[in-house]
Amino acid sequence: MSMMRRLGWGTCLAVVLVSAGWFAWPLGAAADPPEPAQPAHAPNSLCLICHGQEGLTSKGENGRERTVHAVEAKPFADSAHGGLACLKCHPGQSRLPHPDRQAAGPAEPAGAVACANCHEEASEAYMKSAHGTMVELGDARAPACADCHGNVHSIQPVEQWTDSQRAQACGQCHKGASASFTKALRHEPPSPNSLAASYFAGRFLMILTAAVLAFGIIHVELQLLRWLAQRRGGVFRRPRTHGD
Amino acid sequence: MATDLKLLPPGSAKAAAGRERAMVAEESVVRFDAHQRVQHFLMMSSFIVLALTGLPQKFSDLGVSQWWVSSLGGLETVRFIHRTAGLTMLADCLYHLTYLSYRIGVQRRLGPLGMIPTPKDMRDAARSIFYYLGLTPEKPSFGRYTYLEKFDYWAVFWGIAMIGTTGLILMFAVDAARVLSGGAISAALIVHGDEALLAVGWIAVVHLFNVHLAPWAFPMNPAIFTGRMNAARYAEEHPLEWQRLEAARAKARPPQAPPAHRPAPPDHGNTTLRTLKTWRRRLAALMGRMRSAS
Repeated sequence: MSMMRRLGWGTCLAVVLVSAGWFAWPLGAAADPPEPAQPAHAPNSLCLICHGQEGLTSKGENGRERTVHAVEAKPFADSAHGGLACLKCHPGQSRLPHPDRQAAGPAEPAGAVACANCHEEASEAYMKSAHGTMVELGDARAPACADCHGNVHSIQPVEQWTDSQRAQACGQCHKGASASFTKALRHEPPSPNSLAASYFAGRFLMILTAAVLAFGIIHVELQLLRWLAQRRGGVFRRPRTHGD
Repeated sequence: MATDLKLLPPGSAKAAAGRERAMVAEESVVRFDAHQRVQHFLMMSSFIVLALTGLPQKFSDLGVSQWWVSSLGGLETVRFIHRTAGLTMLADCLYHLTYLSYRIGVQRRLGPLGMIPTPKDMRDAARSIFYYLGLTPEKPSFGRYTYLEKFDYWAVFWGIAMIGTTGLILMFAVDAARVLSGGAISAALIVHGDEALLAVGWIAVVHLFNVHLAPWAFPMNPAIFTGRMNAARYAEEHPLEWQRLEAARAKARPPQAPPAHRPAPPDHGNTTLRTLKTWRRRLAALMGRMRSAS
């Protein structure tokens, strides 16, 4: 009998400890992997001999005629990507004639995969945003990087955009988007410095959820334990009646 | 305490007498009126639909969410269902508020006020925990609504305020941004999802346990659907309310039929001395148990 009693208290203690453990459940931050070494690339001027001209065609590997994708040299040099080698985003295109784009891997300009190679954090935050949810749940209307940020060969950093430029970009899908609407989405996780309201709301609700559910779970466990004890007639002392 | 509350259903004296006879015959007590049952049904069904269409959007990276959304016909369909169910729940909330104003303001029937938390609920909660831990021999005597039922009820109010408001913000995000900052829109998405997770967690753990899974309720407590509750069970789970109903019945009945009164449980007064005595008894019980365990 006393063994049973001890078991009951041990269980209670375990329940309380496990539930308390919730509060001390820090999410360890993953360490950033080291940057891979930059390979040496052919100079962009070499690519621009052909790709700087409008309307050229050439024969592909299969002998089929195809148009040469033209890039305007000046806007590209002035863009946020101006300092990058062409081969950085178009790997496998150093051979002539160029292999088909599909075979060369993720070089589709609007494809998020190519952008994510460098903009890793931004693409992670994007996948966690409302737009990322659309991608994951297979909605065809989900915007790809270029849909909002524009052509990669003339792209400008969003920080330098004017409010009306931002509103125009969002307004393509969200009719009537205002300047303040465009500030709702940022490609970085909420922190006290950026999207502070979201950060603190998330923190508060995490603590509230843990506290309320811990109370609920402990309550249900205690209800069950008491019921079990009553049935076995032993874990706790039997009910007594008092004189008063 | 709650003796001035008119909790019996309305109607003529004759109708009341008929209802009373039926009550005795079936040995059940009216616990919820038709409006309350309809309100709960709307709340329950919209809640289930909202959870089934909302959770896959919150956990969109899981394969099962992606499978579920695509089998429902894609995100656009799921969002449409979710928003329809959300508006249904808000309409249900308005229905409830209208019902409350009519009952209290026009009919002057103050039964719903029994949901307001009182200091007794705090004491009941503490006593229940002591009882579950085996520190007191008896369960506290509950009135019409127990502290856990009151928590359930007010949690819905809090939840509707948080989730309903943020849901409307998200539904009309562009229009809301004319009034709110971008940061508030972003926070609305977080609050909507996290608060909903809390609601689903509470319902799945506490509510589901107490009305379905608990051994003493299994497979379900049907009172919220039938509106009636078995009299013996009512007397056991809500003794104070049962005594009140008995007293009201005895008053309505002619004196030649003395009702069989249930013995009243000891009335725990609220005096400091009594509280001190109770605490000393608990402490003594705890010490005694620790001694006998070692």
